[in-house]
Amino acid sequence: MDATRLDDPRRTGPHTVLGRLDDQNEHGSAERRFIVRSPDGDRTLLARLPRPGVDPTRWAIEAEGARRLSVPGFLPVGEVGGGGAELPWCAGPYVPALPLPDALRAHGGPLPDPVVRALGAALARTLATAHAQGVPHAGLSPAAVLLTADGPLLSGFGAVRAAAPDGEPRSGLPGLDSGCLAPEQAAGGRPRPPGDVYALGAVLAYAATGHTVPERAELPSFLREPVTACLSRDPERRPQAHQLVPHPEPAGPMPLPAPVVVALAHQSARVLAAELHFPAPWTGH
Amino acid sequence: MLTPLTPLTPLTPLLPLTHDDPHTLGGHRLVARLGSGGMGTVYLARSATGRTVALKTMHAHIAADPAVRTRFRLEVDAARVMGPVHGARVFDADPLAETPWLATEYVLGPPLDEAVSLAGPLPEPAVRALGALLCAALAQLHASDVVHRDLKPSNVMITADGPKVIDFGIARALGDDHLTHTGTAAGTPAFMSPEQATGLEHTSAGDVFALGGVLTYAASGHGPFGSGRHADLMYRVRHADPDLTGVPAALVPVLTRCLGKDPAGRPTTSGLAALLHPGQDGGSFAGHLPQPLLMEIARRVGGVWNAPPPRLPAPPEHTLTPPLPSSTPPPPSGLSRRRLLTLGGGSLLGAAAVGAGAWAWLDREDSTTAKPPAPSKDPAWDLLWQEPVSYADPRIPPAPLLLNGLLLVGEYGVKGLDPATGAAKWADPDVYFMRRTTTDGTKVYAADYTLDEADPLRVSTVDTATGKLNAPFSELKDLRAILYGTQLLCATAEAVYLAGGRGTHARDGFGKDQTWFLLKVDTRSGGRLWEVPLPARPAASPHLHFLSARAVGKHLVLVQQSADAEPRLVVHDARTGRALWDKPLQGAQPVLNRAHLAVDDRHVYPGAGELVALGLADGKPVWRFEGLTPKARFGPPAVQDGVVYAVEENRGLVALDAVSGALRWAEKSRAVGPEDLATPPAVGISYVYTYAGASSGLVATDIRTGAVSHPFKAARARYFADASAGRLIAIGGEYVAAYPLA
Repeated sequence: MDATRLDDPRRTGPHTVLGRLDDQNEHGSAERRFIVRSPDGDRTLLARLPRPGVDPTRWAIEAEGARRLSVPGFLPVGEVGGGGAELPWCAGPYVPALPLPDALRAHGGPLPDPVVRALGAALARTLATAHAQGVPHAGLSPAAVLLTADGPLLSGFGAVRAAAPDGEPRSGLPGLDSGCLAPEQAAGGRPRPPGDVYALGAVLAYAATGHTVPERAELPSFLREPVTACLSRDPERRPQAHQLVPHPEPAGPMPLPAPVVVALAHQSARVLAAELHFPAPWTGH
Repeated sequence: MLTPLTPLTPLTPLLPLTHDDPHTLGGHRLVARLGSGGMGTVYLARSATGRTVALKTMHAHIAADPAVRTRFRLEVDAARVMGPVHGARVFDADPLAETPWLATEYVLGPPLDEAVSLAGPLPEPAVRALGALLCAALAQLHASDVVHRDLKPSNVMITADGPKVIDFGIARALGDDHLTHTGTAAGTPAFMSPEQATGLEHTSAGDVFALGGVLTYAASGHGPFGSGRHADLMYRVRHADPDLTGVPAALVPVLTRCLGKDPAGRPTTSGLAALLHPGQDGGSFAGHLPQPLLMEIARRVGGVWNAPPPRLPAPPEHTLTPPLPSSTPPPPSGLSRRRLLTLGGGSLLGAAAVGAGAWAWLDREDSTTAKPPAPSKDPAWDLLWQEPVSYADPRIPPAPLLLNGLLLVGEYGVKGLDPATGAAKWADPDVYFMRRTTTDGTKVYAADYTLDEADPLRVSTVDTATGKLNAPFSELKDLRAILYGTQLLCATAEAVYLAGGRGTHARDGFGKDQTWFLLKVDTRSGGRLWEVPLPARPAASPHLHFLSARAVGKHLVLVQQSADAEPRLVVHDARTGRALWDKPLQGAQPVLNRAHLAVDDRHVYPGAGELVALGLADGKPVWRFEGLTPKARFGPPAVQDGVVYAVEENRGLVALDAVSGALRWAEKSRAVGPEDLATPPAVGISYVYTYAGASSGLVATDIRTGAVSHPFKAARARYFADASAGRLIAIGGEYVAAYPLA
C-alpha cells in the first residue's frame, strides 16, 4: 500500500481511503485503485474509481456489469456507488494484491520463466471460463492483473467498452493500454474473446520482457509461438483461450518470486496496522 | 504471544469465538480466536480505529495470582525491548486490567517448526541468514539485560522479512531469580541449556545454546537432543553430545561450539553472527527460502483477510457442559499456586512438571507428555427423543443433513425434524430423495424429481420451514431430471456440485445411452461454472457415481465408485473442475464411507485401515500414524479444529495434530472390536463420542485430556454431532434418536 497523494480522494462513498494500491500512476489502466475501510472499521475493501479522462457514466455501467458476474479469476465487485455529481466507484473485499507492473518493479525486471508460465496458465484458464460463459473481459492489460497469494485476479473489466462506444476508434484513448488493444478493437470493433487473447499475449510478453510489444527474439523460447499467435492482427488466426490452457494444468497456486511475497507481506501488514482517524461509533458501548 | 496461528488449526488461522468470549476487551472488538491454552487466549481483534491486532489475554482467575500477573508485565516489557524488527510490534497493553492483555502486530508467517514440517529442512544459506538475524534479535534483548530462556522453533516466526522471536513468557531480567527459581528448571527441555537443566543460572550464553539447537532443527529437521520424555531429554542435554546428523558440513563446527556444555566456550551473539555470515551480504532473507515456505508465508499474508468464522452458539442449557478453559470459574481464594496453574486444563500439567514457572500459552509439546489426566466427569446422558424412520438398507443408513435448527433424515421421503425435540417440522415436503438433497450448512438444496421424462434438471433451495421447493435458481436444459443417477453432492455458499446425466430414462438404475457429468453450478446466477464427464455405467447398474463429497476451499473431494463399485478418492480443483488426483481407497467399504469424509483445508484422511493424511493438492501422504502395534488398524477418522480423532484397534480413541500427525493424547487401552472400527467418532464440544461394543454403550472421551467417561447403554448406530442444537444424533436402521451433546 502506498501513501495517498494530494489529488487522491479521501473517501469512496462511505469508505475512508487508507492508501493507494498502485505504486505509480496506473498507466494504461482505466481505474484508480485504493484500499479503503468501512466507517465502522470492520471491513477493508479494494475500491476502484474511473481515472480522469474516462467517461464516468460508461465506466459505471461496466462496474455494474462486473458486479453481476461470477467468473473465477475476475476481481469480485460487491458494491457500486456514486454517480450524479459524485464520481462512481465500486469495491470488493480486500486481499493483498500486487499489480503486475509493481511486481516487475519489485523483482527488478521481467519475471522468471516458471512464474510467467504459471501466470499464462492461470490467465488462460480464467479467460477460457469467462469465454465459455460468453463474457469477454475487454480490459486485460498488465495493470489489470493483480497478483495475490491465490493466483492472479483481473480488474478493469470492460475498460475497452468504457473508453468509447463500439464504432468509434479507440486508439490512444485514456484508460487503455495501447499495446494490449487488439487492432479490431482499436478500430472500434465490439470487444470479443479474440481481443482478450490478443491482450493475453501482450501481458505475457510484458511479464517476460518488461514491455507489451516485444521483439520476437526477446521472448523466452517457450513463449515465442503462443505469444506470436495471440498477437496476430487477424482475430481468426489467434488461438482460443481454452487452447492456451496447458495439459496438465499446473497444481497449486501460482508460484510467486520472493520479492513479490515480500511486497504482499508489507502491504498486508500495513493495511492490518492502518488506522482511521476517528474511532468507530461502537466504542464506549 | 502474537502467535498468529494456533496449534489447533494452523491452516485457517482464524478460529470461531466461543459463546462466552467477550465482545470487546481492552477497547478492542474481538474478531476471531487464534488459539488458546491453559493460561489464556489469543484473539484477532480490532481497535477502535480499525487496526487489526493479535490480542493476547490471560484468564482473570489466573491473573488473580500476583506472581503470574508480574510475569505478564515482564513479558510485555520483554516484547517492547525486542521491538518491531526482531519481534512483534507492541501496540498497547494493560497488565493491570482484570483480564490482562497485550495487543501486538499479527505476525504474517508460520513458526519455524511448522515451516520445517511443511517445506523440509532449510537450505544452508537460509539457515545462515536465519541464524544471523536471530543473533541480532538476541543481542537486542541481551543489550537490555534480558534473557529469553525459552527460544525454540515454535517461538520463532518465519516472515518474509526475517525471523521474529515471540513468546517471552519466561524471559526475565538477568540475576532476577525469585520469579523463576522455584526449585526446578523452566523452559522446553528439547532446546534447554545444560545449565538450565541443572537448575543453574541461564545467562545470555544459555540463549546461544538454545539458538544452536534451533539452527540444528532448521538445518536437519530434528533437535540436537532428539525428543521424548522430559527426564530423558534433560539428561541428554546435560550429558550427551549433540546429534548433528543432516546438518550441512560447513555448519557442524559452528553449531558444535554453540551446543558446548561449558557456557564460556560458546560464541557470543555477534561472534556467532560473524561465523554464520562471514562478511558478505547474501541478499534478502525471503530470497533464501524454499518455494513451498514462501507460498506458505503468502498464504498467511492473504489468509488473515478471510472472513472470520461465526461465533459458536451457546450449548443448550439443560446439559451439564463441562467448562471450557475460558469459562473456568474463579477458584476460591487460598488455593495454592500450583493448583491455580493446573486449573486451566491438561495442557498445563506438562509445564508444571518442568517447573511451576513455565508459561504455556499455546503449548503443543506439553500436551503430549502431560501426566495421565484424572478421570473426567461423565457428561449428562439422557435419551432425549426417538422417532421412527425407514431406510432402504437398515445396515447402511445415509448420513443426516445438519443445519442450524433443522435435521434432515431418511432416504426416500426425507423428514425435516427439530433436532432439539424430534418434532416434525414439515407436513408434506417436496424433498424426496436424500441423494438429491444437500446443504451448505445454512440452506438446503434439492434437485427436483419429476416423472416427465423430458423435464430438465432443476435445482432449487428448499423452504426450511415447510420442506417445499422454492422456484428453481438453475435449470440445466441438457440434463434430465428423472434419471436415476442424479445426485446433489455438496454445496458451499457460492456453488452446488452435482452429478447429472443426458439420455433416456431407464426403468432400473442407469441406462445404456446415458452420459454423465460432474457439474458446478453457481447458486447466484444458476449458471454452470464447469462440467467434467463421468465414466459410463453399464445398463441397469445400481451403483451411483459418488458416495460422499466435500468442497473445502479450492478442492472438491469425492469418494467416487467405479462401475464395479470399487471406491476411489478423487480430488478436483473446485475452481476449474480439473481432476488433480485419484487413488483407490484401500480397505474401505464403500457403503460405510457415506458422510465419512474427513477433510480439512490441508489434508484428506481417507477411510478405515491405516491412519494417514494425504495432501489435498497432490494426494501424497503427508504423515502416517503408527499405532501401538505394527499394522494396527484404525476406524474412519474425524477431523475438527485441527485435531484428527480415530479409534485404534486394541487401544481406543487417539487424538492427533492434523498438521503433523503427532499424538496429542490416547485413551488408556480399552477393548475395541472390529465393529467399533466401522464408524468415525462424533466430535462434540467438550467430548468425543464413540460406540464401544464391548460395553454395549456410548463412551464420551474428554476432548482435551483423553479421559474416558463411564459407558452409557445405547444401541449400536451411526452417531453424528449437531453442535448448533447441542445434540448427539443416532441414526439406527429404523429410528433416529438424540442425546445431549456436550
